[in-house]
Amino acid sequence: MTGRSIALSALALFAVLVIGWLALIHRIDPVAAPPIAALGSAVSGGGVTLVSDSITLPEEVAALPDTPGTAVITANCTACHSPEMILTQPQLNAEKWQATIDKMRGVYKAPIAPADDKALIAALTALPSQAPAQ
Amino acid sequence: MADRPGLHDRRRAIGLIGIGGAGIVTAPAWSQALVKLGLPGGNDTRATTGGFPGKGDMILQRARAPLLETPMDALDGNVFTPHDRFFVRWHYSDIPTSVDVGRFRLTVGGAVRRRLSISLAQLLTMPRVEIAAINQCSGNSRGHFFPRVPGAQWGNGAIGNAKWVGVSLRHLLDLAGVAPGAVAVRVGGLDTPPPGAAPFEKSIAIDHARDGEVMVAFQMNGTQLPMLNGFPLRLVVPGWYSTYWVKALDRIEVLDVPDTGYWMDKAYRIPDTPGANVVPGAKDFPTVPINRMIPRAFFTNIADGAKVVARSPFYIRGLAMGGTSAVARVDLSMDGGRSWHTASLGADHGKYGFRLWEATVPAQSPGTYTIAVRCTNAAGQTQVQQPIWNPAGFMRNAIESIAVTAA
Repeated sequence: MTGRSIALSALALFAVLVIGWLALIHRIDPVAAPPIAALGSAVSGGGVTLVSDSITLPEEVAALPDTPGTAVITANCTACHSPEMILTQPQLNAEKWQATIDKMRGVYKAPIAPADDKALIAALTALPSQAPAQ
Repeated sequence: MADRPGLHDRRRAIGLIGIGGAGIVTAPAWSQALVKLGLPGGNDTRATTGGFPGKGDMILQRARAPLLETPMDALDGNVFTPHDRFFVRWHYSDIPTSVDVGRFRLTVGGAVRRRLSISLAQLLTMPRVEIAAINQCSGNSRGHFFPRVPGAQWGNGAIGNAKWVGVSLRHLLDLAGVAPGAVAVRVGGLDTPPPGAAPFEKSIAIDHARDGEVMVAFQMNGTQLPMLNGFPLRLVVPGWYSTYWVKALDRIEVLDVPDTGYWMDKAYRIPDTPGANVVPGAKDFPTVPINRMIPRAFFTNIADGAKVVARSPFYIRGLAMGGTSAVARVDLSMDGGRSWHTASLGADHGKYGFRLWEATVPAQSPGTYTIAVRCTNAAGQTQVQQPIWNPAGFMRNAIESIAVTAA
C-alpha cells in the first residue's frame, strides 16, 4: 500500500469511529445536547492563553422546613431560586413579604397566582427563620 | 500622611499604636463549618461550602443563583483576593456553565459605524491595560443594616480585589466608531432571565466608557477568570460598584438615548441624598443609579468578640479601600472615636485596590475594649460614625468596630 492509501484508510477509519461514537452518545443520552466546550480547546495571543471551561454546579442541599406551608412556598418560589434566599431573610412583616411577591411577579415574571398570595404570606411569616430573635 | 496637630504627642503618651507584629490573637470564630455573621436581629448563621467548582470554602448565602460570600479569613493578609475565595453573585439561575473559547464572540453594536463581532483570539492581539481594582457588591454588608432590609443578607464579604488585565472599552468603541449623539454604553452577558423578565444589562455614560480605565478583562490575578466570576470576559469599572462589572460579557451596545431598562431605571438605585442616607422606612425620595464606591476599612485577623492576652501587645491588621480616590490614611480608635491613631499602610498597588493596614496594640489591662478602624481617602472622603439607611441596603460604609477582651 502506498503511503497515500494508508492515510486515506486511516482517515476513513477515524471517520467511522467518530460517526459511531456520535451515534452511540446520541442513543445513550438523546436529551443531553448542551453546548459543551471542546475539551482542552484554547486560544492564545500576546503570551496569554484562554482555555475552554465547563463546570457542574453542586447539588442543592438546603431544604424548606417541614411545615404546613412548605407546599405553597415550593410551588411559587423555589423554581427560580433555592430556599436559602427565603430562609436567610430577616424578620419581615406581611406587607414586606407582599412587596417581595409583587416584585417577583412583576419584575421576574414568577407565575404566582394572586389567589395564592394570602396563603403564601401566611406560610412565609410562619417559617421558623422568621421568628423573632431569642 | 498629615497627622492632625497633637496626635503624635497623644500617641506617644498612651503608646497605642506601633508597627510590626508581636502578640497573640485567639482563633477566630469563622474557622467552623457554620459561621455567624453577627447581623442585628439574628437569623445570621450560614453554612460554609467548598462544593462550588473553582471555589474553596465560601459562606453559602444562596445555592441557586449562586451567592457565595468571602470569609474574612480569606481576605486576611491578601491584598489580592485568591480566585478560589473571590465572592460570587449572580442574579438569574440560568448562568453560563460552559464556554468554548474558539466559538465565543463579543459583539459591539448599537450606535456605531461598524458592528463588530470579536473572537477571543482577536481580543488577545489588542493593546492591553492592567489595573488593580476592588469589586464590591452594591449590597455588601446589607445584613448589617438596621432596621433590616430584604435582599441578599451579606456580611462584609461581598468584596474582593484583583489585578485585571484586558482591553480598554475605549479601544473597542474606537474600533467600532461611536456615532455622533451617543450617550451611554450598555453591556450584557451570557446569563439569561426567566421568560419575560429583563436581561441583566447595565449601562455607563459614554464619557465614562471612554475614560481608558473601564476595560473588558480576560485575566484576573494573572490567570483566566473562574467561570463563576464571569469567564471568559468581564467588564471592569474601577472605583464603581460591581453591579456594572457585567460577567460573561458578550455584548456591548452604544445607546443614543438613555437606558430605560429595568436594571438601570428601577433597580440598583440609591437615594439622591448625602451618603445615600434616608430616614428608616422612607419610601418617596428621588433616586439615582448607584455609582462610585466610598472609603471602607475592615479588620481581617481579628473578629468581634476576640480574646487577647492581657498585659501583652497584640497585632491587628486588615484591608482598606478609598473608593475612587487612593487610601490616604487609616486610623484606629479605642475611645469611641474621640482620638484616632494612624495605622501603618502596606504596599500601594494603585488607588482602586485594597491597601493593607496594620498596627500593634500595646499591652492592655484585663477588660473589654472597643477598637474602631476608619479609612480616609485622598479626596478627604471618610467613613461615617452613624450607619446610613436606605431601603435597598446599598453603600454601607460605617466605621467598623470590634470588641476585644483582654484576659
